[in-house]
Order: sequence, then C-alpha cells, then structure tokens
Amino acid sequence: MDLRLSPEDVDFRQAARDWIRENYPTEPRPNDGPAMREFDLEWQRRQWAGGWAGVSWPVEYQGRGLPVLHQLIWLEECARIGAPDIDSRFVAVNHAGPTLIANGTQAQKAFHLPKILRGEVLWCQGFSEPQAGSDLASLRTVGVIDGDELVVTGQKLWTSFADLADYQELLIRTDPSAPRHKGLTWVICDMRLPGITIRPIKTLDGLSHFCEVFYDEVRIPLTTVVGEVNEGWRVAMSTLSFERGTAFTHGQVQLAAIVDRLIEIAGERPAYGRSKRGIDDDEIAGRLATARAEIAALRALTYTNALRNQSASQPGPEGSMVKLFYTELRQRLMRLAMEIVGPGSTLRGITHATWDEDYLFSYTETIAGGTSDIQRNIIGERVLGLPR
Amino acid sequence: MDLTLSDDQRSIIDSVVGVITDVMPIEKVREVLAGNTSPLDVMWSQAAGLGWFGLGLTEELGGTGFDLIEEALLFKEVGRHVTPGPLLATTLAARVAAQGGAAEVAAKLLGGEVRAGLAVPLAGDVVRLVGAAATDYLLVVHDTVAGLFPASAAIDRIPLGGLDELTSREQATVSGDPVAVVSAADDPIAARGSVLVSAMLAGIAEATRDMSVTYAKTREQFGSAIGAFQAVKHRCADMAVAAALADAQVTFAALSVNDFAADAGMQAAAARVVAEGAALDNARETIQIHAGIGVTWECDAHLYLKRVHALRELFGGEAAQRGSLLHAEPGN
Ligand SMILES: Cc1cc2nc3c(=O)[nH]c(=O)nc-3n(C[C@H](O)[C@H](O)[C@H](O)COP(=O)(O)OP(=O)(O)OC[C@H]3O[C@@H](n4cnc5c(N)ncnc54)[C@H](O)[C@@H]3O)c2cc1C
Repeated sequence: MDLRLSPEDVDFRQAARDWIRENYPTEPRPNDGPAMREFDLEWQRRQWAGGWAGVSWPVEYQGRGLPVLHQLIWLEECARIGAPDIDSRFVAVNHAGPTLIANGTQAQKAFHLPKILRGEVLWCQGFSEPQAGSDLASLRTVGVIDGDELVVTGQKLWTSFADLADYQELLIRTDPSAPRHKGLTWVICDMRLPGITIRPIKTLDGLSHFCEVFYDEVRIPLTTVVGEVNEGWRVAMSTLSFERGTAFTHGQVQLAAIVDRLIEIAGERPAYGRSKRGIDDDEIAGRLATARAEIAALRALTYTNALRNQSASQPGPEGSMVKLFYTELRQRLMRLAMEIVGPGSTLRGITHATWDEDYLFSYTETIAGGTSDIQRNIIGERVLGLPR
Repeated sequence: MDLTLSDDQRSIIDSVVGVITDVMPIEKVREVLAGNTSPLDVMWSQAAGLGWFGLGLTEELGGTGFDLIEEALLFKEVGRHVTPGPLLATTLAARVAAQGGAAEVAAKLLGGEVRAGLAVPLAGDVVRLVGAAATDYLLVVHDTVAGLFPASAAIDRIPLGGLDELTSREQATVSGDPVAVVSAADDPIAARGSVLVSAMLAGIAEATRDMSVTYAKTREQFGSAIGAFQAVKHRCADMAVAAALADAQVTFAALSVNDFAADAGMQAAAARVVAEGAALDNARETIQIHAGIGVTWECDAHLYLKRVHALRELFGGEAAQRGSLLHAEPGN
C-alpha cells in the first residue's frame, strides 16, 4: 500500500489544476431555471473543448479512459478551486452515460454519448412515483407495446431538473402480470414528447430542485429501450450503484471547505448566542475537530473503495456506506454551522448564497438517492449478509 | 497510489492470525485473565521468533525492514483478538534501543528475552505506567522525545485501578538515566505509537462488528433471527460503517506518518478520533445486541470494551488530537 502519487499522477493533477484555474466559471451560478441549465451546460462544453470531459469514460466513447484515481483527483481539484459541482449534469454524466455504456445499443450510444459529453443535453431520472419511493419496484407507470412504440401513462415524482432536461431515464411497468421486479423496462424518454406535463415543486429552501411529471399516452419508440423489455430492474440497479460510488467526491471537498470556514469564523467571533469565541468553547471546538477527523476518514474510505473496486464493472454495495455517512455527516455539520453562524447570517455560504440555504439543502441529501434507512438495509443485507 | 494489500502484507496477516489463534485464542486470554501467565510466555517466544517486535525496523538495526503500515496490520489483529501483553511497548522500545545506540538491549527486546512497558508522562518525573507489571524496561514517550529506562528507574510504584484487568496501571516516579533516547525528529515514536493504538482500536471495531453480526444471524426471537429486525440490522450497518471508516483512516495515517507527509499529524489524529469512536460505539452496541448474555463476564464483549478504555489513554488523549485537528492546514 502506498499513498504517494506517481510522477504521472502528479503531472495529471498539475495539468488539471492549471486548466481548471484558467477555465472554470467564476461568475455566481444561477440558483435554478433555464439560466442555471445554460450555466451548467456551458461549463460542460468548456470541459469538452478543453479535452477534460469524461475523465474516466472509455476512450471509444470519446472519454479520456483514465483510471479512477485520476477521476478522483479531477473531482477534488474542481471542488478545491470552487468550480461548479456536477449537480444538474449528474444524471447525464454519472448515470445515463455509464448506464448506456454498460447496457445500451450501438445506436443509442452513438446518438447520446457524444451529446452528453459535449454539453448539449441534460438528463433527468424518472424512477420515483407517488406510491413508489423507497419501494421502487412497486412503481405503477405503465407502458403498453403498440407496434414499434411503447405507450406510457402514469406519474413520476421528485424528478430532479425534469423541467430543464432533454432526456429522461424512465422506469416503467411493461408486464403487470410478472413478479414485481420482472415486469419493468428502462427506457430513454424525450422530455419534449407530446403528452408529457411537468410541474416544478418548490423545496424547503424556496428553490425548485425537483418536479412531478405526468404521462398521458406518451408514445416512445421501442428502439429507446435500454437492455431488454422487462429487464429494467437489472439496468436500474446498475444505475443506482453508480450513484453510490465516487459520486460524493466533490461534496466531500465541500465539507472540508465548510469546516475550514467554520474554524475560521469560530476563531473570529462568539458562536451564535454564546459569549465565547467558538474555538474557545470546548463543545463547539470538539465538534469541529471531530468533523475534520470524520471528513478525513470519509475521504480515506472513498479512495479505498474506489481503488479496490476499479477492476469491477460496477461499484459494489459498499458505496452505500459512503452515501450514508457522507449525507448524515453533511447534515450534522450544517447543523453545527447553524449553531456557529446563527440563522439569517449575512456571511456568504459555501455552496449556496447563504448559510441558511446550505443548511436547508442538507435535509434533502439523506433522502435523495435512497434514504439513510434504505442504505442501512442495503449494508445490513448485502454487505453483512443479515436476513431480510 | 495503491490501497490494495500486497502478497507480503497478506502473509503477515495470515501469520499473525495463525499464531494468535494457535497460542492465544480467547480461551487462553481468559486463562491469562485468571492469573496464569504461561500462555503469554509461549506467545512471547513465538512472536519474537517471527520477528513481530522488529517488523518495522530496518534490517541493519536487526528488524525485518517493513514499514509502519505492516506494523499496523499486525496490531489490528492484536486488537481484534484482545491479545494481552506489552506488545506495543516492546515493539517501540526495540526501536528506541536500536536507534539510540543500545544494540544489546535492542537485541534482547527483539529476541523476546526482555519486555518493556509504557510510561505516560504526567507531571515532572511522575508517570503512569501502563502494562508495565513484570517488564524489564520502561518506555517514556513525550511528544518530542522517547527514552528507554531500566524498570528499576521507576520508584514509588503505586498500583492504580483500571477497567481492563489485562492491562496493569500504576503511578511511579522515574529517576536515573535512560539507556537510549530518540528524538521525534529522527523517529516519531509518539506518532507511531498513536497510529498503532488506532490500529488496535480499528481491530476492536471490526471484531465487535463481527461478533454482533454473527449473533444477529443465529439468535432467534419472535420466530426469526434478530438480524432481520431493523433495529438490530441498522445497528449492525452503523457498526460496519464505523469500522470501515476507522480501518481506511488508520491505513492513511500509517502511510502518512511513515512518509513524513506534510499532513501526517492531522491524519494520525483523525485516525485516533475515528477509531476510538468506532471501537467504543461498536463495543457498546455489541453488549446491547447480546442483551442479557452481553452483560455477563462470560461474554467477550466486556474484554473489548475495557481494552478500548485502556488504549485511549496512550499517546495523547482527546485534547491533543483536537489540537492537531483544529490547527491542521485547511482543506485536507
Ligand atoms: C432532493 C431530492 C431529489 C430527488 N431526485 C429524484 C430524481 O431525480 N428521480 C427520482 O426518481 N427520485 C428522486 N428523488 C426521490 C427519492 O429517491 C425518494 O424520495 C426516496 O427514495 C424516498 O422515497 P419517498 O420520498 O417516497 O419516501 P418513503 O419511501 O415513503 O419513505 C418514508 C420514510 O420511511 C422510511 N422507509 C421506507 N421504507 C423503509 C424500509 N423498508 N425500511 C426502513 N425504513 C423505510 C424511509 O427511510 C423514510 O424515512 C429525489 C428526492 C429528493 C429529496
């Protein structure tokens, strides 16, 4: 075992750092809407133009084909300098792309993969429904085969960025008589097809991160099915484990930046509602120190999982450990931030305009991508082998 | 960067586990606990024969020439099996003797002829001796320097209580001259010791996780294995996360300290904080999951719990770790 970077790794990091510094967008990122879409896609286009898009995507799909270590370095360097997080590009670059690479037809890959890397399109993920949250396999949106088309009727819920996306990973029920997991199909849905209605939903931070999407006899060509008809569960599961792999690297660096800033603030002024400077307050200082230790350990675990799994075709259930710990830690840390800066602080936030928004956002993360309880189920059953 | 175990590392682990399961399985640990020290003597000669005490020492100085990470792998197993005896103190003492010019003493420590205990500096010459009963030398470790003294240097020894019956505690005053001294700039004995303590704690976190998971799969109530109940399953999941974090961070700490990396102090402190938390939480959960049997003398859970408390007071307590973490360079 060795923590040191090889000369090639160091060169890669330096090149990444130099390029990002020259090219990352420094103007503030719009909070939502078409302006945010344009901002995020422009950043993706710049990465493509500079030869930095798809660091770990295979070369045959115009990625860089670099090892996972370089992907981690790239993500960390982006985050360190304060370049935008993957955010609205997440489904396209981290989900749909890898899922198509693993399961798509030649035609699907040829059409979609370049558009994703070049920053021409955003994707969204249409999995959850009103009646199907944690219990994803109970979803009810139906697709009926009619000639060479699927006719889709139903509703999706909590679809992040549905109002801004061009395409959707849509999971539907195509065989209602089959066992729950056997009758699902994963299909690429063009969000501009007739019969689709999208309503944004306002979240607790006053912004809109997700939408409800209605499908009224939407006709989707069968050629857009990824994997086979009724094989959607397997395809969807590969997508979900991508989400739980290296996906939180940028966020982890943000956590480190949040703690750095909180330690700075705690050294300058009394904690909110207290008389001592935060750093002189044993309880606050102890929690800040613990947070630093936990962030270091989370990084160590992320690197360990990523480097040990790189030969596997898809990340294993261990990714759930990172997802669980990262999101819970972020929420704990933002609560500590509220105790240090206080609500309504005029200080600038780290990932949002204000600390209030940073704080409120942390409540969404232990839910999105599978709640903490669901991650604990996965760890208990699939990592530890406990009975269902 | 490489975070996979090498073949050498795997065989070190196998060999250590082989010796421990052979000569110091939990039944033997309990014999030692009951006052019979002969299993310890058997283990000691085997350990010395296999070079445990010089694993991380260069070959020129009489060791095997591996690094701190290999020592950490060894001590993780020591933690996992609640192995008794002053293994850590003797390993560190051999380093100090070998590097401090006391070659003969080093050879005896490495060869298993003599043992060393730890002395935690309190104030002035007053120390707390930990695991130093019936040892021949005492290793006094300050942040900046470590000194090896003959056991006779400790005067006014007063036995102290302690939670871990397998780790003696005494208060004493150290007087006289050391046989060897090493400054932290040349070899950071305190930092290495702290990493190895973290390794033992990580081993305890894993062992207690495994004990709990095994029990959760076999104990039945309400007609099913208790591991099917989410209250139990989710505790096990949290234990698994804590143990995985501790293990990964101990590896980072061992490699960083060995490389004299710029952030070594932060990495080592992080390992201590995370491993202590994991070990203590997991020991607690193990007792809770075993319930009635969990609070008995017969159940091994208390051996782990008590060992955690014995380890916590070595090489810088919570305040020291907090300082290293808060004053670390921003942005790890
Ligand atoms: C910000 C955000 C963005 C999202 N984006 C998307 C998206 O783009 N696409 C998409 O498809 N979905 C998205 N989701 C939906 C997300 O995946 C679901 O909210 C999540 O899976 C939980 O489903 P639910 O909200 O219906 O809660 P429920 O499943 O109803 O859960 C309610 C509570 O019960 C608990 N619970 C449920 N089942 C179990 C069980 N078996 N064991 C223990 N506890 C259980 C849960 O942990 C939770 O606390 C998003 C959610 C959020 C918050």
